[in-house]
Amino acid sequence: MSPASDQTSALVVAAQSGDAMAMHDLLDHLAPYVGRICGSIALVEGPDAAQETLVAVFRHLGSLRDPAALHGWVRRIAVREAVHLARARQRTGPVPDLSDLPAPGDVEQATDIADLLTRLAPEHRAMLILRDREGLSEAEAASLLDLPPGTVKSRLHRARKSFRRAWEA
Amino acid sequence: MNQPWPTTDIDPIRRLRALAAGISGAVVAEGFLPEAYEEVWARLSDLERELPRLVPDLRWLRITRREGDRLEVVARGHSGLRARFDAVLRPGWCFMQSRFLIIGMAAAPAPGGTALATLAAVRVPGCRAIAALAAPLFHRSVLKATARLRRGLRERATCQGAIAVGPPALAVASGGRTWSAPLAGTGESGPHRRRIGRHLLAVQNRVVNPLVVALAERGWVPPTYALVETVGRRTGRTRRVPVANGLDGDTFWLIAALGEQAAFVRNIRAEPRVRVRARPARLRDGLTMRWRSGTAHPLPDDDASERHRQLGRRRPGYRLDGVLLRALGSTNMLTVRIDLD
Repeated sequence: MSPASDQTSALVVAAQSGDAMAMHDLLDHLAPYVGRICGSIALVEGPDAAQETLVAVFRHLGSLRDPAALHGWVRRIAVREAVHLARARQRTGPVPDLSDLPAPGDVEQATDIADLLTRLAPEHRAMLILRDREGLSEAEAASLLDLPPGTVKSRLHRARKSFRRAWEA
Repeated sequence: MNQPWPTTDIDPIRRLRALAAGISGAVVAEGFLPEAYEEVWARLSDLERELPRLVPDLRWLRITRREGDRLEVVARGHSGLRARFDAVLRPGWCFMQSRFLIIGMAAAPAPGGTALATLAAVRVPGCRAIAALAAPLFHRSVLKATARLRRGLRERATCQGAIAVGPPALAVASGGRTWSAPLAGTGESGPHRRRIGRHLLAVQNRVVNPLVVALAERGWVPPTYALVETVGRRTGRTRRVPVANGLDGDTFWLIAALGEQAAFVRNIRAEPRVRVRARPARLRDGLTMRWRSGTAHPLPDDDASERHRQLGRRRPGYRLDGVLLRALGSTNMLTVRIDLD
């Protein structure tokens, strides 16, 4: 999903100049991408996170100088919005049934990806997605999330091991 | 790699909110209808049939080309303005853009009914502030259209409904000369207009005057302008029009630039009881601004130009407005004297 094609770059330029139909087409183009990132990180809060991401994207589209950097820029916004929202709702949301709640860090018990993701903290879900889906290096992913790479490394290692197992099963 | 990652579908309502963030001056109105989504969207998506029913200013709308979900739409308003739109029509989603106007509508199933959102914005190249100024107008008309849709859905037998953008929308589509100062004494559009351009009048009547009325109702106009409220000769509803302030003690002098053609003059002919809200032009008349009722007397034998000059003598703002009025040119001015109770 990177870098942006010429066609997408043209859409960005047109949208920046106030062409609403270009914005519309850009939204069509970005929605699945944003939906995947937000769905994986924010889980049930995915739709709200995706909306907040796209609102931020379109509000600040004018500040994107290089249209080719679109996807990296959108990814950054999506990851941050999704993590932020997931954490905020985690704190304020209703307490779930404790018997269903997977123990934090209990990633080896995970049976599939969706299940695995619910067992991870939002930042760790974000790490996983950035590394395994977006192909970022650990250092890149950690800096995007403002996390020190060392502290998440061991946790992520376990998560990924279990994740691979579920993936290949 | 078949195992699915969780993903999120972004529903039309959320998409519309996102787009609105990128469009300066966009107004989004959201609502809820207790009818099923299928029923609501079946009506809304029939653009040719439903939009003109919902938008008072829209005379007709035609889909002139269709390629998949992409449409080309031509619309014509009662004021004679024509606009060509590029449009996208999908289940739960319609988005249209002309040179001067952006319209969007989105519907999605919600528990117990349908969630509905509409977007409206003017495109004024190079001037975001003006686009933002039009926002309150859109808001009102979008709400009205939603109410109309709701009524239409309730009366299931008669096929009514749809959604919209309001009357000012197409007026703006007429051209760039949007913001002239309000003029004393123009009414709604009439049949014969020579020197005052049809388009400029349409803009004035549908955009400028409603905006000035909205501002004046909040007291945000210079004392040069006043509001006159008449009773609609056909509808019986109250109509407000901004006019130059000709308050003189207990008499309000009103000079109608279009004479007998002005809609408010025709209203007065049918019902002479009116209300006036004017700031006293001179300090010795006090400072309070309130609605006062009165009786209007059109005086066809009065020399309106002379009266107009005379009124301008002690009122610099009035004279400035008069300059604009004369620039637009009018030969059949009419004096109306309103005796306040």
